[in-house]
Amino acid sequence: MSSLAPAHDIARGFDSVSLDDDAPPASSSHPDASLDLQTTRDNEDHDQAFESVSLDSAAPPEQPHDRDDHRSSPSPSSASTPPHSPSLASTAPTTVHDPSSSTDVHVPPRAPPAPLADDAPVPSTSAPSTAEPDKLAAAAAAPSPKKLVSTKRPTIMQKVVSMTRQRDLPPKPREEEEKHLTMLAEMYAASREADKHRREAEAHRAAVRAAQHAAAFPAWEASILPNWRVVLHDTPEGRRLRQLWRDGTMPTRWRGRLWAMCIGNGLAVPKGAFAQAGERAARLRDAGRLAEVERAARADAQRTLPALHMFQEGAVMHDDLMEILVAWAVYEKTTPRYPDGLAFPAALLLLNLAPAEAFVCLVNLVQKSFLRSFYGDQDEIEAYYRVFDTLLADAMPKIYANFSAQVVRPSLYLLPWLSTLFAAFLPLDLATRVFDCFLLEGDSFPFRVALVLLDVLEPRLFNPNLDELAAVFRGTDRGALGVVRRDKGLILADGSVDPDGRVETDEVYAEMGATEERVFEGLARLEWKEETWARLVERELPEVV
Amino acid sequence: MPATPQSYDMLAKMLLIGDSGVGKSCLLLRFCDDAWTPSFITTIGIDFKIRTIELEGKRIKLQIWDTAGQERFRTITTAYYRGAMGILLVYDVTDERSFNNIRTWHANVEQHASEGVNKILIGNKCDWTDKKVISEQQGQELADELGLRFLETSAKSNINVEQAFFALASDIKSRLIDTAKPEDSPSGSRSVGIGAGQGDNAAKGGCC
Repeated sequence: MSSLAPAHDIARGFDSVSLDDDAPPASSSHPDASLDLQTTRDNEDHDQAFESVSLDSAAPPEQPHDRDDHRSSPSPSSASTPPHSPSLASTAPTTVHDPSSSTDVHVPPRAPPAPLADDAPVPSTSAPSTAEPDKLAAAAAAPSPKKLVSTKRPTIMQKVVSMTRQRDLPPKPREEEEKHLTMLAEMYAASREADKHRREAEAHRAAVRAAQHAAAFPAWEASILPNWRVVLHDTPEGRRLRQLWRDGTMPTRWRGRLWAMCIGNGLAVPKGAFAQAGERAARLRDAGRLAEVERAARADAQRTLPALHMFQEGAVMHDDLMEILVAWAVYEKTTPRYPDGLAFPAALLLLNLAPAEAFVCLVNLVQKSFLRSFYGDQDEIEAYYRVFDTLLADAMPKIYANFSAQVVRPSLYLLPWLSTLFAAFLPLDLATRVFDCFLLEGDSFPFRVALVLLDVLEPRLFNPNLDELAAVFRGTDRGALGVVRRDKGLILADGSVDPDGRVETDEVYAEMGATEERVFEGLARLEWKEETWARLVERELPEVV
Repeated sequence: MPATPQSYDMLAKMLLIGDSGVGKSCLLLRFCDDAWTPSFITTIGIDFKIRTIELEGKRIKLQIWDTAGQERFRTITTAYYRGAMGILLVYDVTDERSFNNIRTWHANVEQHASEGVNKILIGNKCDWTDKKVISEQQGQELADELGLRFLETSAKSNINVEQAFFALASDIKSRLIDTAKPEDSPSGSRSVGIGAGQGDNAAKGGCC
């Protein structure tokens, strides 16, 4: 499957390629052709095609090429190009990568002209090309929303050299070239087909999920909401309801209440505590003792769920978030301190609860979970690293071995994942579901998620380069980033990246496979013994247990 | 933010809701900045603007939330609706689909917003007469059916924009200020008092 993906990615790039072609008059390709003194026979074919078709159709010159495609065509070496291409095609200007880019130019005319050609039917390779001039003209006339991958006409050089072989390799026979171009065209068709299936499957999954939510709603309302502890009962009913919880069907409207009930207020934080903490913070601020805390909290808020644009400075819930963070930082502490990552659980709580309640929950949650260590004690963090390393060595020895060889410590991935409860990395809906289950299943749950994430990312984790491993964890992996950029149409005509376009970390993670479905499938498959976890924690953190 | 002298008598959170492209952001821009832009700028996440108005001697600070029409995450609906006191359901009179979707949006409001929230139906872009496909009567009928106030507006030509926001603000005011003070249950005061941001000062009094 992985070998298919790249071709697929390329094709996705292509669909857009045809769009921004402003149909340069075909005649303009002529001077080129006439200059082309040493044209091979192969090339003359192309040129004739230009003349016969594009002159009167005013279609972009690619079109005849495209026809040509079917007579001539691509190759095993084409099969070898795609695997390298996703990142190349996404980030590099076409001129650099002749093999892939010139094929770019050939295939697109087959792609439907609609701006995001995605949902239009893909003409089969044998589709009559007579209809195409119109379509292309339409495509050219249609306002193209964004300039995507370059669609420069093939240069003289591109016409001479093989489209399916790197320039520095010896030429291949024409039949082979033709065969390869055909194969390439087939791959594109297949990948577009696969793309279509994927979209249909996605729509289907969304519908199934919506139905699942609707079906579960009455049970939540009637059985769980009045007494959430029923899900802990070891009865058939308890197990059924627990499964509903794990399935991620918690109704959005009850989430805040359920979270608050689950977290409880074991510390008996009084109702006025939030306001009092705010007053204390104001005094400390006046005394100049809060600057460092506020700076760190503000920096964290700035990177909290940026796609929502709710917590950044000036955004609608920024002040609420800052108040909670600062209140937490001063609450029952002689010296105010702000731990990195706190903004994320705080933001999740704030999305579902009023600020004062969210504050009480945050104080209690941190105190009664592993977060207390992650937000406080370096020794305890190290102990949790040892616990996790043991689990990792057991579950995924190869990854563990590579990590050991590259000196990858859990501080590189586990700390950022867990201290933000994954909210800085995973799509919000997934992070929310993880939070739901964390409250249900306890401390071990986030660590299980971390194991599953490593499993999801596995193909990228055998990299012998520490920087590149770090990029995978940061969500800046070049390949995945490139695919996301292309999918979002952020690659401009000249191959550069749209400076206004944003790519969120969670989008890159999702592209790398960290989707709700896969993560929870992985969790279901994970062989997990809670006793092992408990034993390890007891060994490493005797005073915590 | 801390300890600003209370320059208003009431803080009201309002939401703009409706399909993408119906002109929610333009209405907001017109009402708060008296400006208009023809360019289509997709709202990213959630935006908000503030305008303080005076209504029958009371200063009402309106905090108006504007969202991208299509929610990327289902999980943020709670935060969006929490504490909302007034909701503007907006459709585009030149776009039948956006009109038909009002029912869905309305159902969404019923599900997530606190009870008794004031609502108004807005048919925007009414200046665009040659493209209009939803008549004023159709709009009025839907509003009657759903029990909403109704106005046709144009953010571009500045028709009825003030009226729409003022009408909603006035409804909110009469619900919350004029009708005595039935000190609600905690849940009630929570949905009312939390205007986000500065509103917390007000909330403090209510919930302790």
